Amino acid sequence: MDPSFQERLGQAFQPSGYRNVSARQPDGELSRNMLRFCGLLRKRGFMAGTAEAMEALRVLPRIDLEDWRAFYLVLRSLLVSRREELGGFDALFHSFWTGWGAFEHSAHQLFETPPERAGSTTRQARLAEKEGAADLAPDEHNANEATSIALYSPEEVLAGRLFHRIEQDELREMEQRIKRLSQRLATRPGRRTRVGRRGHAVDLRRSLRHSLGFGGDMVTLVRKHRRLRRLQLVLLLDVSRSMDVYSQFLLKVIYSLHSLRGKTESFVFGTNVKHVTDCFRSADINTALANLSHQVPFWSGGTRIGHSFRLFNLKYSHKFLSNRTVLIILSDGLDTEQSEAVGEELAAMKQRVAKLIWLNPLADTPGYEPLAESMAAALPHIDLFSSVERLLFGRKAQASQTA
Amino acid sequence: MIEGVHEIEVRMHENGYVSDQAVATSIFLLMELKKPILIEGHAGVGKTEVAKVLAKILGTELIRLQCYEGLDVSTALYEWNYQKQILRMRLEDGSTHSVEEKEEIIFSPQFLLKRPLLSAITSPNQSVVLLIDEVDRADEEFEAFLLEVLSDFQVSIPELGTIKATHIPYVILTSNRTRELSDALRRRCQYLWIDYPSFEKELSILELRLPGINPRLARQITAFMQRVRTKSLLKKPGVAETLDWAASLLLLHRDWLDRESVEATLGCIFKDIHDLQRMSKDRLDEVLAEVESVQNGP
Repeated sequence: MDPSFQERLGQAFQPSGYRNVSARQPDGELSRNMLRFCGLLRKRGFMAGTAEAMEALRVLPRIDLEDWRAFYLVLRSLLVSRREELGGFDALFHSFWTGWGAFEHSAHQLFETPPERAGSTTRQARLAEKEGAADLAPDEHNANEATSIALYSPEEVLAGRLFHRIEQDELREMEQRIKRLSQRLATRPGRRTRVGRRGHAVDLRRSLRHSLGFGGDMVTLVRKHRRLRRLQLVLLLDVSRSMDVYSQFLLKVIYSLHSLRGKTESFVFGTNVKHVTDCFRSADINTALANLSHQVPFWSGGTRIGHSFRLFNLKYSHKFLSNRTVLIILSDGLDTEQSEAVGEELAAMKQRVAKLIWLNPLADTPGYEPLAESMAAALPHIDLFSSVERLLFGRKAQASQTA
Repeated sequence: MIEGVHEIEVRMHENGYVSDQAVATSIFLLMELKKPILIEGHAGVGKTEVAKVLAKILGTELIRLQCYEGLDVSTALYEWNYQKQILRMRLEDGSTHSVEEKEEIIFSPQFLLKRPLLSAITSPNQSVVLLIDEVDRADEEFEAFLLEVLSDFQVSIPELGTIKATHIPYVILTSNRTRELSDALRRRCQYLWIDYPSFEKELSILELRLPGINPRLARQITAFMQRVRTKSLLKKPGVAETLDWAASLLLLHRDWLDRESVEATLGCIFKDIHDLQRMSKDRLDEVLAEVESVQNGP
């Protein structure tokens, strides 16, 4: 290392004169601490490898080391790779590098954030907190309701009327129908092309090469056509109490979808949201149901649609929704709390996805109109409003079929 | 040669961009390490502008690749000039060249159309600024291809062989987060999140870009925009909208904000019918009252 840099480092990071020398006081070896810091970040899921640490070390001699904000910004630029990591990075940076004696800035001076961002972070933090609390005490929200929640336990749900064992024959028939449906649902012409004899456009490059053999006359034209692309399915299943009677049927549908198509992701929601794709990857449907019942604490509880959608958007939408996603919401739209958020959050989802479908088991009930507040707020953002039965069987199903 | 983060900040300001230390640090790292910057942020916060200003202060060319779904190699990298090739083959009709020789002639560099990526790495004199705009709109296949180009800075063309970069370009990628980018691409880049500006920053942007603006109007406009962004909207207006709106108000010779002029120019700020409806009448009065109270406050 450049000796003058060492010297400056010695000055900048001189711990003497500061009382609070923490136990993690670095030994003056910047590179070792940098690697240690990256290791810490990696443990928290950051993509900060040795290469990034080396880059930081390469460039640090060129900045003013007495300027802690400059040091912080260099590290942030190189070690953070998505917006969601910014908050965690600030916290880790602060706790790790405070050991350096010269670090006299308060966190506030260092991480001056404009008010909007601070606002959104606290909102996120608040939601995360709430959600964390919900994870610890899953029954808290339900307990507030006047309903008989004391009866609830996952095992009971599994053993009881909802999850009686599903026979292989039933499943096979379902799969036949879903296969047909998923072929219609799942593809659309992509933007990329494939060479072939038929096709809407001439592939000039290949035609020209081909023509060389005929002295430059294009005797045959090589054509290209658009490749079909599979769309990603994302399913959001309402598992609140009011959906109980439909759950078994819908879970069968979802399980079949998972086993037939690779590109499917599933979430369940009620008072919270949970990513449950892995449960559906089980080899047989009864194991899948058992896994589900163990992993979803809010099963058969209340419904907070707006709240759940907001959590989904915060936690999952950037990762799972894209312009090649068909998002299917399976819910009766009956909310236990009034919320303006439903329309808003759906609008945000709609902006990200190719198609937004809401399948409502009540849609086939004679005389049903989507008047429930959440359902009415949702309608303007939905591309297709229907029921699973109508999609699968192509007609209005009898209400008894689902019960 | 530009020395240090602070100088970059100053030079950007001279070229009409109100920067901050974070943006300047990223550009500094881009120049030192040649590590591409991935810029994310809401629409209209000046992501693309960073690349334009960088090209200006370096005195170099800006090459822009606008991404969209279905963007492929022939639009991004190179394409053969078919018309010219066909004409040449006609001219070759009477010649004695063999098929192989003919092939060599028509697949030579003079028939090659360079698209943005190829132009960027073959620039003859100095490194250019390569802006890959809205990379989230391109599909995964293209992203993988891009990664290959960005790691080796060389491309291979079957008819010509491998072409290596003469000067490694300064690469800036922008994304609106409509799709999650791959970890590999993120890893290859430094990360920069640009948020909506603070009141002071937005005010200085306004004053820098529209030098003649009445100071009172500038403060009112900024306060109005800051307020509006706290409301729940489908499309929150960015700095681009602020500048558009201010320019329109200047054209209408307004020196302060009143209901009438705001209503007449609301289309500059809100680009969605739902937002326009939402911000009509009552809510507009509410925001204007808030702006007024800020102005009259200490």
